[in-house]
Order: sequence, then structure tokens, then C-alpha cells
Amino acid sequence: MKRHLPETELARDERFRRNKVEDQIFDPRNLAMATRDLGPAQMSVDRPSVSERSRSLMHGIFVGEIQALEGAGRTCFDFDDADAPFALKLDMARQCWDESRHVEISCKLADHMGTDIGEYGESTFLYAAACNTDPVMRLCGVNRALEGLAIDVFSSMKAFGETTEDPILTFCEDWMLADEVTHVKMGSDWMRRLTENDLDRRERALEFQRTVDKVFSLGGFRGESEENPIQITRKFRELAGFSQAECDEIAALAQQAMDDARSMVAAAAAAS
Amino acid sequence: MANARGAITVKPDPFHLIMFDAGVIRDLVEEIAGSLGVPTATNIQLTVDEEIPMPIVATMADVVDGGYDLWCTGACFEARNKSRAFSEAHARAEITGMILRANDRVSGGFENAPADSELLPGERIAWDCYTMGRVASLGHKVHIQKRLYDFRLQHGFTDAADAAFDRLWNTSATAFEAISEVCVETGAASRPKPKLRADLIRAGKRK
Repeated sequence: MKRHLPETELARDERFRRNKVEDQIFDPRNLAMATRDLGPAQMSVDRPSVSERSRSLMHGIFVGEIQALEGAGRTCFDFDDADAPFALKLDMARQCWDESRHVEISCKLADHMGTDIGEYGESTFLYAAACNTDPVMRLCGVNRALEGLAIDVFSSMKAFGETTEDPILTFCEDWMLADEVTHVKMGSDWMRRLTENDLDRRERALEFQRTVDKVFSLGGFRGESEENPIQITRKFRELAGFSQAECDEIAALAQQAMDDARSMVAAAAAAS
Repeated sequence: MANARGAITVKPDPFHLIMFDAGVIRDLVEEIAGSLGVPTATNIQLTVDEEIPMPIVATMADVVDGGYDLWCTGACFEARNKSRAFSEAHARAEITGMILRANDRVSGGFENAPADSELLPGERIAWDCYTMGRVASLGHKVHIQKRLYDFRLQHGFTDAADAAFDRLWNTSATAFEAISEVCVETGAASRPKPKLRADLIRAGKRK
């Protein structure tokens, strides 16, 4: 079996369909959508098309869980013990167990919400962040950035379940959220241990994390205002080993991503 | 274009942002209107908001001066797994639903129902349940669990709501008064009135 599997070689059955990133970026509706008033961004029963939006997000979570499983699994296999200690691989194996369970829970939640595997396309950019050849970068990109995003997503979904009085969604998201806190904590702990004698490497890894965090803030998808569907969850991030300053930095990156997106829309509107 | 079924208009024509063919959609509307017994003189206008992608699905079906005024987001006809592509199966089901609801307004027990922009979320979703149950019985592929989840979001995750859903889904004829009764029964009628207009997306306001 080869090491460092590219995202193009991920195994999927015929139910899955891959979204092309370029199709999303160059969708001619993006500009119109960015300027349309489509109601509040946060998930609530008052939000237009709330059910389809939550189903679509649930499907995105489901494929994200598959890719998180694949990423953690690859980290168990891709590195020699000299680069990634055996104890780290044990943690990644435990994470695989968690992610497998999350995939199953997500499937059942998808059933509950009325969607099927493959109903929506799959983007594999989460797995792409797990392809870094440096295990420390991978831990920062995946465990600290993307699993951190998962904390925010699950927390927001749990809040949605509570406001809609959906006991199944609330319960499932709460359980998965607890696991994500552990995954982020593992990333934080291992990142610090592996770089304790190489602060340059730590800074490069944190810079990679900042890049991933900004990209995955998706131009306003995540933030701390009412305009962001997914809310940054400071309480759980702190439980996962983030300092207050690091939470502030993620919030600032998310705000910057939203500001950048607005500037691009304004520039595109002016040019059209 | 005028024809034996009255004027059927699809807007926009042509589509610019998505890979839809107005002629294909118009033919579908004509075929479905015929199969559902829409009076031959009835004018039908269907406006598809091509700016709105998945997952923002929304439809409206009103009757204005005797004509059917149908509106939906492009997402309603969009293939779920291929951006901007047309799905005939989705289009058939959604057009059937819109025409059934417009028929309801003309002579199906919903003559006194408020316009779609005035309906409360609980009323709208209950009417949709009744509608999509009929769409399914006509042989279209309708995801019942999807509709149940939509219903529960507005009527509650309770046994009473599920029983009301089953009743509406399986009936072949009801009236707006029965929809209102369901809203009282499940508690949806007691929920705070939404702060947003039901036709927010259709209004097309810019930020």
C-alpha cells in the first residue's frame, strides 16, 4: 500500500459524486447571491429553506467525517515512527474509531432529516488538508483547524436542534462534539510536543493552520456575528487547548475572510 | 406563446446563469397542467429565479385574475449532485406540486386561503404535506422522510405532529380549514409569528 494517497485516489462507491472546486468558485450565481437578501444567516426555523439548508449541511458533515477518518487513518500509516511517534499513531487510531462512529451517526441523522448518501456532491478539500507530508503540519491543519471547525459546526447544529426541539439532532451533535474536543486537544498536545525543540517548525505549522482556518471560514460561513451561519465556539476550543489569544486570532481570521469576500463582491459588482 | 391550454410563459427565456432550457420547462408545464385538469383557458406563468442555487428551495403558487402565478427558485429544478444542471425528475415533481396548489386555490377547498406571501410557516408546510402526498400518489419520486422532517420543524417533533402528517399525507381531499385545525392541534398556530416575510426570497431585495 502506498503512502501519501492523493485526494484523487480516495475510494468511493457509485453513490458519491465529486464536486469540482472550480465549479464552485466560478459559479456565475455567486455574485448575485452575495448581494441578495436571503434572510438571517444563522440556522433557525424562521430562516428561508431552513430544512434543505440543514440537510445539505448534514450531508457535508457526513462526507467530512469520512474524510476525517481517511486523514487520521493515513497519519497512522504514512509516517515512520521517527517522524510520528507510535503513541501519536495510537491517538490517530482512536480518532479513526471516533470518526467511524461519526460517519454512522451522520448517516442516521441524514436519514432522520430526509436525505440520502450522495444526494449532494462531495468536496474533498478537507482531505486535501490532510495530505501534508509533515505530520506536524497535518496535525495543525486537520486536528487544530478542521476539527476546530467541526467543534463550531457541531455546536451550531446542536443549538439548532435545541431551538427546534429536535431531540435526536441535539443528542447526536452533543456526543460528536465531545469527541471533536478530544481530537483538537490531541492535535494541540502533539503539535507542542513534536516542536518543543524546533520553534521554527512550530511557527510554520501554526502558519499553515492560520491558512486553513482562513480558507475554511469560507468568506463568512464562520464567525461571531449574526451574519455567520456557524458560530465560533470559544468555550469548547478552550477545553481543547486553545488559548484566549488563539481564539481571538481565529475570530479575527474569520472576520478578515468575510471582509475579503465582501471586497471581492464589491469589486466584481463594480466591474460588471 | 398562446396554445390550446391558454398562454404558458416561462421566465427567464433564455436562462443565463444555469443550464436550464425554458422551452423544456414550458413543455413540462403544459403536459402536467393537462394531466391535472387545469382549465384550458387558464394562463400559466412560471418564473424561475435563476440566481438562487441549492440548497435554497422555495416555491409559490398563487392565482391572480384567474391565471396561475407560479414562482420557484432555480434550486427546485437543480440536480442535487451537479451544480447548475437541470433535473427533469425534480422539475416534474415541483411543477406538479405548484399546479396542484394553484388548482386547490381555484376549486379545491382553498379558495379562501391567504396568498402564499401571507401564509404562516405552519400553514404552508401542512399544505405542502397534503400536496406532496398527492404528488407521490401520482407516481413522482418524493422523499417522504424529507417532507416529514420539514413538517416536524414547523409542527414539532411529537407524536401528535407525526399523526397529523400521516393524515395530511394520505388524504386525497381536504380544505384550508382543516390545515388551520392541524396548526392548532400541533401547536404551530401558537408559535410566535415569524419576523421575516414569507416571500422574502421572491422579493429579490439586495443587501
